[in-house]
Amino acid sequence: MPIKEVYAPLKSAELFKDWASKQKKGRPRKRPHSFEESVPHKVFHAGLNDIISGKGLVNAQLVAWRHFHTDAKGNHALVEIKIGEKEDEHILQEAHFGPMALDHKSLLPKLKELKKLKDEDFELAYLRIFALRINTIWLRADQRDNDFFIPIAPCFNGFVAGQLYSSPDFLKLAQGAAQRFYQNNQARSREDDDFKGG
Amino acid sequence: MATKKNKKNVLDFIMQPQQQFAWCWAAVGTSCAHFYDPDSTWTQCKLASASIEPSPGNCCDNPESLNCDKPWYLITPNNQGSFVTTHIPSSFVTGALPVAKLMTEIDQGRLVAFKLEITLEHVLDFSIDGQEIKIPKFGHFVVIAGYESSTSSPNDQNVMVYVHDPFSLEKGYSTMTYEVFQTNYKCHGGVVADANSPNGTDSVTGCRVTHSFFTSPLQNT
Repeated sequence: MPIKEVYAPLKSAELFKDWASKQKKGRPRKRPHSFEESVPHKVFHAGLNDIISGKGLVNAQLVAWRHFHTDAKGNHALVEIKIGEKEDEHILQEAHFGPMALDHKSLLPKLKELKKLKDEDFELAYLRIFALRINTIWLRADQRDNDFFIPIAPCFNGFVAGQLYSSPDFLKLAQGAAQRFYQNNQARSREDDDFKGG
Repeated sequence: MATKKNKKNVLDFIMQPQQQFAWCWAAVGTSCAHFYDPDSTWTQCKLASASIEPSPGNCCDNPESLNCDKPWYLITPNNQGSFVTTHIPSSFVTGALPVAKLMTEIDQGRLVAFKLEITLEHVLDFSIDGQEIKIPKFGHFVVIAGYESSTSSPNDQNVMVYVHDPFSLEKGYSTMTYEVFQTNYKCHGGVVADANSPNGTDSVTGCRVTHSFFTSPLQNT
């Protein structure tokens, strides 16, 4: 199961390189911006209504590109370049530091060993459904029904971090999460709403 | 004209991942309590048990119950919330702090928490088990524990902030400009949750900071 090589738009790659050039210096890595090093991948956001209604992720929207970065001192980061509102506009959104960045990258070689993934090629992507507290690796097949997901911790509503889910299994749990989201947000007094979070 | 003047201050803060779906307030309260008092014995479930009203019972035994796993507060005008329960001296202001004030707080070793509010353009409207559901917005708490500025005239666009989110990163943090943090945190212009938008996308109108919460070291009790 090779991961398909996808390349970020030039402007996204340039913003990533510019960000990387400003990080801690040290002995330069051989090819810090090569595909193998940066593994550019798409970030999607999905709507709750589609999940509730059973449409799934067909309308998930591409919102950003992410790039892995490892500096000469072995610090890992995930750099997110937002896609702007104008055509071909890209904006540096944020950089994530911490164990998660390395965990993501370490996952890639492990995917090749999974039997369920042997029959098809997949595109590595990332799905964030903020309202449902879902962050997940999204392995995109040619058909959405054949996708797989690997949620990232912390996970709730029955999702287990690091576990491989088929598309039907993932969407079923996501629907449950949407129901929980509703239960958590109903029956709040208007006065308190302004101060409450979860 | 702004001149170069590098300034960086990052507090040694670790945000615990929230242990339940709606416990960002408990994770923030517990993490801040441990920052100010490394010997603190607060845990998220203890904090939920002690903070939520009416009493939900022991949330360490049944953390996923709807009485325990629910959105709550850091501090309110009526003195409710995880900062109150943990005795973290705290107060709040509406909106985001000016960046200079934020930097001053961090320079003095004090964490600043924020409430982000995601407002939907159309009320999220759907049906579960025949029951109509309407959700206009939801909230989330995070902490800023550091900043980096490379100019003598810091502003929202040129100051990078260190954001610790109990949901989105496990024991990590994100850096972004203070402007991005205030206006577009995790929303990317609008697709955290769509609704009845005709084109099926982009129905978030706001993803912004609504409150800033000052904290300071625990008082001796």
